[in-house]
Amino acid sequence: MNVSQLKLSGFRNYRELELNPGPGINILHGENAQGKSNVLEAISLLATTRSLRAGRESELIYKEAEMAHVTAEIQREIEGEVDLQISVFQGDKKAVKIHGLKRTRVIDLLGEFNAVFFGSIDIPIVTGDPSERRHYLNSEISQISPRYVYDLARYKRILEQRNRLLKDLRERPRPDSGIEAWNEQLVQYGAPLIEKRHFYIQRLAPIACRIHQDLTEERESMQVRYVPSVDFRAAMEPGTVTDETAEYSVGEAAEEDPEVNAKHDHLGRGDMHGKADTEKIAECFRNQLASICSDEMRRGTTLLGPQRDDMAFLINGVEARTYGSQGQQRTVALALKLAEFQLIEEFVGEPPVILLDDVMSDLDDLRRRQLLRWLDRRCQSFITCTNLRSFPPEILSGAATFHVVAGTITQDSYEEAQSRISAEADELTPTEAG
Amino acid sequence: MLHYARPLARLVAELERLPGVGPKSAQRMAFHILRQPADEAQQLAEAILNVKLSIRLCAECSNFTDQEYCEICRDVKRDRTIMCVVAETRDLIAMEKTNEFRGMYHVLQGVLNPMEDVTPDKLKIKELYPRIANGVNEVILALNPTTEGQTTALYLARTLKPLGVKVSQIAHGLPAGGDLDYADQATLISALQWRREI
Repeated sequence: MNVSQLKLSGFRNYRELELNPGPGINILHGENAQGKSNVLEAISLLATTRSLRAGRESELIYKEAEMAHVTAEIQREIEGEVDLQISVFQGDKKAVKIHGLKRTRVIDLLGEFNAVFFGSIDIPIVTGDPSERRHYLNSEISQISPRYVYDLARYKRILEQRNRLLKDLRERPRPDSGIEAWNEQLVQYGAPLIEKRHFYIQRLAPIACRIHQDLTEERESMQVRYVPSVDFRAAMEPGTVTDETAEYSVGEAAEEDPEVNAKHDHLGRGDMHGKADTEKIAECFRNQLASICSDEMRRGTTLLGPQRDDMAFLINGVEARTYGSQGQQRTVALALKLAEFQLIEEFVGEPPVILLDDVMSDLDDLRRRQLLRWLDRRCQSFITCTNLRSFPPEILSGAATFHVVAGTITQDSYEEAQSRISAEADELTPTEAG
Repeated sequence: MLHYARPLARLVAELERLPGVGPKSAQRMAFHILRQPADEAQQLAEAILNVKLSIRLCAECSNFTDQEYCEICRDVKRDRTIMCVVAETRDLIAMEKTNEFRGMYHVLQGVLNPMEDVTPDKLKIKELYPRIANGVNEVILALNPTTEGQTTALYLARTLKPLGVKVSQIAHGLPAGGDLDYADQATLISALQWRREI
């Protein structure tokens, strides 16, 4: 699918804007704070109905405007043209129109258009706390499983109640507290969450790893691993592999660095392939919960369950979060996002639009070239950057470039783009200009 | 800022404490009472006091009653071998309106809710055991499909089953006469979960 026309009205720093993007790579270039990312944000809003960064959605509205509108013509492979509009009003209210018809629910927009965004806000998936990775998993899986959303909401409520009970029991122990019933609820709603996370990571991992290989021209190899709080190896279907001696534990770095080894013990579940049965996961959860019961009473909180899950990303056998360079961490996050792109493509039947916010400058030449090669002719993409130097001529000749200056956007003709590049090159090497 | 005269302010404040009553409604009610003839206001005040003085819990099922046993427990025609457990009296009334259930009831007077400091000892659960020992064959749990309602059902199932009584739970899912495509996702998920063989 692609965006053939985008109109913004009263959105961020755009009073009025009409943009006619090309079907392939679209490059938005300009100085900082001119409104490049706002265009990506508008496209993302159409796909998710949610703002990427504003805490309050009325912040999306242009400073002198009453409301913001994002209107787009989407070209889809089977349905043909789809006209979408999302409006944001003061007080964080939103409204959507599909083919000009107002819909009663904003979420009706979901599924009409898909886009995958990648920018600096996604880096904490790799570098941040485990909660960032759980949040990432939750939002990814929620997109493909409504059941997950339902179970997760239930689980959170049960957890809150159970934690309160454990806290009370620490202060005033009682024989008949009802804790067993809360344990069973925790297990009943927690096990499907674990099963879905396991399933999702198993699908995501091979795709992300292959993309990562492409991006690094096979110089690095990545592993994506689920680090569940509940050890459910016993729940794996017989005949499926449970590889406990995964590659990373015999890596050179690991042998030399005792700290790395310690870290690996913490991660040490190994690779887990194959199907895990929800009922059997529940059984593992139930047994392990029973065995830490006295610890939980003493600490006054729940110590086991999906709320303590994590994911690990390893590059050449070493954990990227702690030992990766910034560039490596960014590449991992990028590979995850491109894998998400492929999963959506599989699920929807056509490629979503990809939005890359200011990522070119953080990648080295190799990765940048590989990324552009990956994108080229695969889907429609929107890339923001401060200059065009990052792009090789063969990419630029097929791309549409737009110059963004203080809330106005002008499309460069091919000649303009060329001269802009040579002008930029001149600044670097003035002697060659003559 | 303009203030009410003190007695009026007090009435507004008391009314505001009622569930579902905000400042605006409280104000409207207070002014309504103020305009009422004195005997009507008297009747309202008496009704409120009277309910507190005369209503107590049924010695058998913990339903609200003005006698030692509630109307249902006094009814000799009801089937004493089957019992329906509900959280509140208002749930009992809803069940009764169906005219389908002719057994006995037991009102827990709440559901397990640690955040509101409700543990099993705060509910009318221990009152259940002697009643079950007294010839009950089946217990139907009619509790809300909320997290708290379901945890309470789970708790009761675990404590009652060892007593050798049949424990069942009412079905959760689509409303009767409801359309599949109008049902929200949570309802459909629940209906799928509680499906049965036909």
